[in-house]
Amino acid sequence: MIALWWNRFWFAPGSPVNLAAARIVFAVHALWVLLSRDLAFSSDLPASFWVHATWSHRWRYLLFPGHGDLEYALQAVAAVALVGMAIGYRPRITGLLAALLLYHLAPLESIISNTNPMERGFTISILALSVLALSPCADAWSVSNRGRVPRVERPAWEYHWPLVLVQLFLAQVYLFAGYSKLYLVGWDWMMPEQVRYWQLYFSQIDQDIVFRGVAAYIAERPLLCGLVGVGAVAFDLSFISVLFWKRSRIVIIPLAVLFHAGILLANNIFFINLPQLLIFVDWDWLANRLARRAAPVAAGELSVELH
Amino acid sequence: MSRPDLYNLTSALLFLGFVGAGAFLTRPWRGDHAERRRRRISLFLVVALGASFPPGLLQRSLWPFASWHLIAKRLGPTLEYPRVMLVDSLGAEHNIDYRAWEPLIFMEIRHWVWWDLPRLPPAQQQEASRYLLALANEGRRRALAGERVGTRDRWLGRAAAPAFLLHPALWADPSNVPPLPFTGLRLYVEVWNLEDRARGDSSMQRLLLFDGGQAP
Repeated sequence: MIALWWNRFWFAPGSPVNLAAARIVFAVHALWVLLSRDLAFSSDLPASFWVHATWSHRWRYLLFPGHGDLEYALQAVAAVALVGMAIGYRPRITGLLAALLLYHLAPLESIISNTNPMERGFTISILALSVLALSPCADAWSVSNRGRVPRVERPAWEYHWPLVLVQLFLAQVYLFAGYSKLYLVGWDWMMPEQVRYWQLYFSQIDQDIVFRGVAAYIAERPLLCGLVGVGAVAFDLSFISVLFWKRSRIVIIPLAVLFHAGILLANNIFFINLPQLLIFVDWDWLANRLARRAAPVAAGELSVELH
Repeated sequence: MSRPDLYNLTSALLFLGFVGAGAFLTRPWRGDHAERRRRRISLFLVVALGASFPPGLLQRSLWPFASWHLIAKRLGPTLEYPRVMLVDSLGAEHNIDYRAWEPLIFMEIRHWVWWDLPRLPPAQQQEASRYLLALANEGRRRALAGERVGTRDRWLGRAAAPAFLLHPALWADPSNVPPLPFTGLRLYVEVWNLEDRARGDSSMQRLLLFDGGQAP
């Protein structure tokens, strides 16, 4: 029974186009974050800025201060590898290289204050690029095959498990964000008083406020505070249903966009993984639909011929 | 070996094990058939689940397998807020525009100034605050000249990815840029009551934690 469910969940027939789209989304997203940072800069900071990084941190990430030139070179190689991955050029090499280099470079963003660079932009990308590199993600929409039909014959489940795994990594962000609130704080986190404190906090810390008003508005309304608390945790915990019930994506993914827009406007927190939600779009279906719309006559003729 | 060292070692081995297991188990094997390949990939999936679920469930991050604890703490009515102030040559204090310290991320460097700078030996404190003042003065110069203040947008312009927390661009208007060079760096911790502030009471306690500087 478990084996049946396991096989149905991981090894159902998949789409080479959806897997290729995930490759493009993660590579372009990681490139976007990489080009928006100057990670190598931190390598040449005076030694006093590196007080947090013990010998084991340095060996964990292979980060040793005072090698800015090397880090800039690695940063450039990572960018080239990500471009290669985005266009589907030798993904097993470019994807793994990008993942390993980002694992090395990402901690530079926060190493002065926090040696755990969670939610700085690369966490999911590193895992996803590693998985995608090991999959046939360049069988469509790539330099070797610009079309949507693979030139290599392989079982359709080869396109399914890698996509589901990277989707799971992204869904875990929500699952654990909701779970951690209950695990570390308890049900109280959802109570109007806690939510009010958080909204007051986000409306009063002037060095971290760009969008004003929404947090204070919520804080003044206990019922709204309660709804925000329960709604946020319920949404976080239920997001993972997109993996088991595909139709729920039609509702949950747009809701996620609204959810993050609300957090941005109320709390000035930017969820950098937001564009990665595109991996839940059925690109195959979309591409087919657009192709049919673009060539209705040709499609009609083909359909007649097939019948 | 201390506990943090063990934790670092475990995290690194977990990630390397994940990548290594994936590379080994998913590669095409000679004489392979679909069922055997599926079993090997299943093994890799078990590794992936075994690596990614415990950090979340136990709330012990083994990055890049993260615990994703976002805003998961209890807040009370009293708030402690670190405020970095730059002091100009006449002794006037100014808030810093977050972009002036780029490419350092403001959230990270503020945390470092709060937690680490006051605990450093005096010589290192001087070295670090001079360094930060030099960065801030360069940012001030660029802001006054109407140039790009930070570095985050140097490649992608307005399309550059923001950091986790947004901050106001205080020096967007050159008339708001302090006209005199900065010579000092101070760190205060401001303590206030969230409820009192919401009622319009702006009183707070301000504790000076660090006062240093002298730009080069």
